[in-house]
Amino acid sequence: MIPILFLLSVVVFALAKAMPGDALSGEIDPTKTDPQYIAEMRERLGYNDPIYIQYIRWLTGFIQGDFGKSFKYKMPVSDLIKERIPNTLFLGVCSLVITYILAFAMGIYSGKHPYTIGDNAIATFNYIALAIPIYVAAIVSIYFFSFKLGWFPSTGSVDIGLEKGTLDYWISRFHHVLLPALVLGAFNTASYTQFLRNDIMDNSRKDFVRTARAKGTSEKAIYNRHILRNSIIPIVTFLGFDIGSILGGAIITETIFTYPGIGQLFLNSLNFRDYAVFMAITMMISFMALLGNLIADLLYGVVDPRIRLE
Amino acid sequence: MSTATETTRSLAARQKSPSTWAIAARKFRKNRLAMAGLSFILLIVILSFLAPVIATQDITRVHFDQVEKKPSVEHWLGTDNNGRDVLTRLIHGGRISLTIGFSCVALVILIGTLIGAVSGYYGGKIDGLLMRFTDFVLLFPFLPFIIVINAIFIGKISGVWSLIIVISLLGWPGTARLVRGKVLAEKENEYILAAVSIGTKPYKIILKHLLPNVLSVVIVQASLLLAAFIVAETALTFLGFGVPQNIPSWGNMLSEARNSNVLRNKPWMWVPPATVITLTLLSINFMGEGLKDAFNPKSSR
Amino acid sequence: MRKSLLLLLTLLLAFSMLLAACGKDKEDNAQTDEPGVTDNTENNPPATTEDPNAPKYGGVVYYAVDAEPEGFFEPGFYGSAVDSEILAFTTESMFKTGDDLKTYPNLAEWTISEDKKTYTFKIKQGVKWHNGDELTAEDWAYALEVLADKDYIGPRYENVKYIQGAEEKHAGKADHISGVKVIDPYTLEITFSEVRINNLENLWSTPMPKKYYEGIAVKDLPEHEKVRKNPVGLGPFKVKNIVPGESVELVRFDDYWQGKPYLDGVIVKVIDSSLIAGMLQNGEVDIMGIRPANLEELSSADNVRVEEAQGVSYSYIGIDFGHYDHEKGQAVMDNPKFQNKQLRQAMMYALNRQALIDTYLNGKAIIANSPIPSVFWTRAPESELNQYEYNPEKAKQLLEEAGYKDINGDGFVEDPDGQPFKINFGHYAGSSAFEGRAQAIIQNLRDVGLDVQLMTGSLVEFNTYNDMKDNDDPQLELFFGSWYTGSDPDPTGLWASTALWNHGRWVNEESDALLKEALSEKAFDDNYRKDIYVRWQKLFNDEVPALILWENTDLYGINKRLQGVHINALGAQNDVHKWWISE
Repeated sequence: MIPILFLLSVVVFALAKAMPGDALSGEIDPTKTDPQYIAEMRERLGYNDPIYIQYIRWLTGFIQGDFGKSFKYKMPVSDLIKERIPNTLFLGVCSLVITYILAFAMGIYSGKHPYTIGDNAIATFNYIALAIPIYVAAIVSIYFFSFKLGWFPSTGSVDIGLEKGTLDYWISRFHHVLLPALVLGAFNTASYTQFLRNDIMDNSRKDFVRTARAKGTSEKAIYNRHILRNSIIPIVTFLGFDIGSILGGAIITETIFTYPGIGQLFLNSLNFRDYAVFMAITMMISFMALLGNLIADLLYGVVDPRIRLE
Repeated sequence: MSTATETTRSLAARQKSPSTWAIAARKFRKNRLAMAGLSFILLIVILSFLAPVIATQDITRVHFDQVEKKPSVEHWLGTDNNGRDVLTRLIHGGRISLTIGFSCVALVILIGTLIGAVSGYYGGKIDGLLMRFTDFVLLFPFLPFIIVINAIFIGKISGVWSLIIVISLLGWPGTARLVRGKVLAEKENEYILAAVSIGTKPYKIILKHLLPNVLSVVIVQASLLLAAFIVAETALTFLGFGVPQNIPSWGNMLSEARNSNVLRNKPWMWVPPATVITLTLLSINFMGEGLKDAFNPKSSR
Repeated sequence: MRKSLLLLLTLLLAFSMLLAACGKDKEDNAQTDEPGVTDNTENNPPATTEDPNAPKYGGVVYYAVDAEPEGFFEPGFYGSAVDSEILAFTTESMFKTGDDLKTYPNLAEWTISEDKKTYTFKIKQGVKWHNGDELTAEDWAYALEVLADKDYIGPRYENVKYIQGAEEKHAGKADHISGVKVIDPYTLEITFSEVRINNLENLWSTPMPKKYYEGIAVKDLPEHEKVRKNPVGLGPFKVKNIVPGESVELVRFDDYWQGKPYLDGVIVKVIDSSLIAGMLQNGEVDIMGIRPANLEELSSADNVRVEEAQGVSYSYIGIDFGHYDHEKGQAVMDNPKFQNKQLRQAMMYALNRQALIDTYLNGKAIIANSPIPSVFWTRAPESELNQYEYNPEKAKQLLEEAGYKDINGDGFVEDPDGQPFKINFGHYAGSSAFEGRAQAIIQNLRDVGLDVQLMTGSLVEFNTYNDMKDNDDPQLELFFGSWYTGSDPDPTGLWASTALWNHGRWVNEESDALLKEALSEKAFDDNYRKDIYVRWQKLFNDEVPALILWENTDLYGINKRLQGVHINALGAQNDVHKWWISE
């Protein structure tokens, strides 16, 4: 894992510096910023040094746990991340839970009753969810569920004015996260539902099911013990990948719902060339992705005994 | 008596046993949904390529006096915020979106299959190295890469090709893994061992024996990828890294919906691309399903 | 997974969502109860409740912004416009800018010495900080010292740079700025290194709470919780609660020096731009700066009014004349392509600016023929400026006179030497309106025979675009840009030949001389100064070193229940302590 991360850090750093502009090119307000200030800051931040020196500086700091300072927010990157990570994690976990519950419910129903009206309705709904890009879905759901129906708040992670730790505070947080979590998970819900449905249908045609039926096993037992268990296998591995992408996957959702999290921070750091933040988040996301891979492999082994034996 | 044996023998001679492809094709043709999907895709592709001929209204010229008009006889789907005909842009946009989709799929399948096959067949160190490389590419950050590629190629190649290059360079690991898995499994079969034992060169084994058997999986994967890439284009447009705005594409037409006024009051600007994308995805999926069923010897619907 | 378990989970999920939704109704009711129900009114002189037009106490206003603040509640460190909007509620400065964009006394008055280099300020007595400390001249001196400190990394050194001794302190050679003297707790004397007309406008005028920041090193200030979480200011509202990246809760500061503010508090919310209209309509947001694109939706909202004010920003098309020599600190005009004045004037006549404004800004901008916005007192009267009305025929005529003729009959003119004449027009990427606008401009120019095409073939990513402008990329020929001038009428920073922001690299001796003259000692006489600027604007208008397009009109969506809002060219937050709610 480490060698890949190291190599990745070199490449990403090079890429980041290769992007046109730097953290100061955004300062184009002539009434407030003086070119002299820009030149001074560039020197101070070391942007004029050769790239490999800048990289080594970053690397030595990073290894020791010093992620550097954000130029935009003028605070240590680690503090900045600490502020935002709980939001993204909360959103990601809620979204995962909702996605899997819904995907299972709809997928199993569809798989059991293929080609019925219910199945077709679910399929249509899913294909629309797949086709509509997430930002359109987000805006549509805000205007419908939030403005028109008033069921959910449209922005933020929590109501302001509530004290941290109280029950009201947690209820508010949960309330705020629901709509973004639903929208975030919509795409995955749709694909997993269809996937599960197809898998269930495939498995129900397999020979061992015919055997079980011939033996006289009840339909219920066939479904629960034979078909479902096999169909779940690939889905479970998706779980690994989903965990891996928890941090970086919500960029668009966070932006539209003004839900301050890592995704939004990442996008901003990219647009404003806030290198320290960008590198720190990229490394974190890559680490999580690798971790997710590992989890997926492990889970695969847990769920499919054939793999375990190897 | 001789005529009877003649007839049976000639009958037997004429009736060759059908190949896998023929069986698959026949099954596919019988699958109504899959055929519907295929027809829709063909229709869209043909329309898109005929775009310059059939959709002749100007897609670049801005018409101040015809901005945001509702659908009418002159403009079947109305006009957008620059006074351009929506239907024309939709058809031209299909060209771009489909070009991106098909090109990326072709490139990804090519790279992925090659790497996956080589990796799976040779195993050992080569496999290890290639898989490491695959993991690395999986982790590669997409956004900064596309910014840099755009910056490097600015003015030299069109933004559409930048996008295709980046998606293809970063999108093949999934396919590689898939192909590798399949090759690993197929490799153990006796006919492969037989070919090796008579001294067939590796590239011939890969090309003539392994790949055709792996192809069915690859084809299904290709259809999934096509859907995924068309969707990816729409998502990227939001972040500003999609097709540059002066070239119409379904993605950037749909991104107009970001403006709440367009979303709520001017549906003709964004619902057409949304509908077309949905139908395209549905068609691709039905086709993919159909293909999967067609190649599966056990399915018989 | 057992089916029954799955069913149970799904029900649980649905139930919890329902619960949360009901919970919201409760919260909503609690919120709507607030305006009008205030306990504070008991302690204060009740405003007359019979007259509906008289200001009332009470209520919370929701103020929205469309980008997240960086979180600096100390004006010395902020860099983004969003932070400045929040600071307008919580801080106060020594002077303020009036509607005519001139500087007026606020917390301090001043007298100027004979040699015009020394300003003596008298600060009001009894003004309190949010934590109860009294404002003194020490606080202001402290602020100036911080900005000049060598460890200071914010962008405001420029606002103390011209004080005598500031450079020495900035270089670390001195401990104090020699030009800053505290005479007594309410008197501050500042001596500038040179006589400059805008010494006062340029001077940093927001004091810092010296006692509150005592003991904190300058380099630690930006991250300190006293700047980020528990700031102390002089403004009508103080910070109560911050949810990073989302919202800031402000409550009334009862001891505000201009009297108790009417509102109980203000909540600043960050919302995505696509939700602006919706949130104004459903009352979740009371006031926000809006864009022309939002007007159509808001016109049908009967609880929202739209107010407009002519602003201080304008858009233009820059023309590339050469490059910037960093050694000499001077622009060099070594690109002969656009040197012909008639060519430039022809381009002005070729542009249908009104159509562009109507189509892309919903008519909310006015055509401008001077780079000094019309709200400034130094703006030249329209009668003195060539209006360059849309006239493609005249454009073609000018081109011919200048020697640009279509020799080969392809519809586009060749240059006076008979060579093909292609022009690049650059625009940065953004919404599809940008693309349309760029296309329209190109069309206008092509229609008079100029072979203009989009630089690089598509709109350029914003940062890349800025890089190209800063580094004088050779592909840049005509380029779209906008400026926000703030309250300083002096255009030197944008148009002088030494200015880094003069991206066109225009050099004109007369222009430089006039600009310098307008900052000299004689210019202390307003009439003299205005005269010089009028001459400069006429020069600009005739020479056309850039194609000035239009000045934007600022728009604000305001809920009808919010009263007392006074809007000017700089914004809507003037005298926020006078805002009140009528129900």
